[in-house]
Amino acid sequence: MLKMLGAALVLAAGAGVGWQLAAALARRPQELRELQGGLALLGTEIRYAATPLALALKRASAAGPAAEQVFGAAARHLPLADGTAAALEAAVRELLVGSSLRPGDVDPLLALAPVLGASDRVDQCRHLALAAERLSVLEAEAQEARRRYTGMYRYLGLLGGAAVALLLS
Amino acid sequence: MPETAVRELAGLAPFLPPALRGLCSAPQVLAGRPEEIRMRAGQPLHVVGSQGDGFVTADGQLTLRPEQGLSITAEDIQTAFQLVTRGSVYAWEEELRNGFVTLPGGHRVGVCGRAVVEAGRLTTLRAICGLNYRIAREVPGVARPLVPHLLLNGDLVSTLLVSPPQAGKTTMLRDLVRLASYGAPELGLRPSKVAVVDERSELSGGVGCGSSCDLGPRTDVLDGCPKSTGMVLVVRALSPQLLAVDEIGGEEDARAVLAALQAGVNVLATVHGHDLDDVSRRPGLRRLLGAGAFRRGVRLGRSGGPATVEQIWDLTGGWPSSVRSLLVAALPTDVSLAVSTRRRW
Repeated sequence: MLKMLGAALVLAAGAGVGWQLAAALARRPQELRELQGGLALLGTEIRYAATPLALALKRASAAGPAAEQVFGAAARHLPLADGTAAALEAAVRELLVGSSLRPGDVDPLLALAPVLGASDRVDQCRHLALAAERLSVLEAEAQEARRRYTGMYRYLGLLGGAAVALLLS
Repeated sequence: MPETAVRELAGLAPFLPPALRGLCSAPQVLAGRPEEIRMRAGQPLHVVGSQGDGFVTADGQLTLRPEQGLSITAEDIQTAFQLVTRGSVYAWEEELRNGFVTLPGGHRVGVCGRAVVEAGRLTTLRAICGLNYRIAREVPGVARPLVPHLLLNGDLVSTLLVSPPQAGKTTMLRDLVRLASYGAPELGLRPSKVAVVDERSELSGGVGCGSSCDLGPRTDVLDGCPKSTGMVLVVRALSPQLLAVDEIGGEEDARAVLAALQAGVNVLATVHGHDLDDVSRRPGLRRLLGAGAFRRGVRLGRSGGPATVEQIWDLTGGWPSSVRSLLVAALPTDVSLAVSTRRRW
């Protein structure tokens, strides 16, 4: 009886790990989409309202949890950080810790950091559009990875758990 | 150490690079009552005060020898520019096109760099290599000696303040606005509703809603609006008794001033120039003077410090037929008396 219970637990753990990995894969394109939404909001604030950066970042954070994690945090860091670039870079580091994004996914944001707020509206919109375009490419890749690997991770988790349970029994 | 200088520098400090804040507020620098702090990449930190100018050394002393001054780096300029624009250069495009950014408190930072020109029009400045912090100074009461000469039936008459840059036009205008708004019964001045069209936020020191300078309880400030548009707007919308505007000059400004006068609003305005001869060389102002728009002209100078009244013209009889200088015994400095009449402007 105890053996059966142990095997069930191992099976559940394996399945859980598989589901976790699959969920992370599924979240990644969503988060990349939210970041693009945040950049679009930021672009609107800059282009049409010339909103000061701290407030524009705060408003851009309304695009979703991932956008809140990076743009909201950057807005909070801004008064204390040593410049805009440092504030955005710190926020990006925090984003990587608390999201399903991979290190390469935030490269467009890191490339944006040194130029954000440092030029006229037209130039800012160009940089934001470029960053959004790069995120869009990453999102397409993430969608493809999700389509291909979500099911696989789930099955692998389940089967892996079953294999371990069998080996242990 | 002058307390006011400390207060003024405290307002400016958040916009100076951290490494230079201490130096700019060093006792010897403050003792000279700084009016401008100038930074040029590769050049020493330069401070201009009411008594003269000098270069700030690494230990906070003032020297006349440039080679002993602390050299400003391109990074210092970049840091300062970021602080001045609050990390949002795009939000100051219009201001940068005019070459300056106004800070809270009305301090003005002149910007120098590489101009980007499109179709013959300056679009922005890049590669910033020089900044000039001009410290705005509120001098409550500086206009009191002048008020009695500008009164008619308890109200200030339309007046043109004339001076070269840095002679205290804005300071004088700000105090006239404040006095008109509060009223000064002891001077025979009734309180009035005042509208200020503050295109460059210098008069009010405004950022966002509200002003950081005291302009009185009956004063409305239209901030950041082009003067000519703003004057028409406030006359129509705010029903002021007195309209104040800084640094008029163009034809559009002249038309707006005339429109305000025709609406029964008195106008206090400032203009760059040494005297009325200078001023009248500009077509818009010549038209204003010719139309008898102003009842008084006041020349300000630095002979007794900034905002010293050096001459007052009575323009009541119209222009150019009669120009008379007034004897101003109450004023602290000599004021010239006779001015020739009948000129062709």
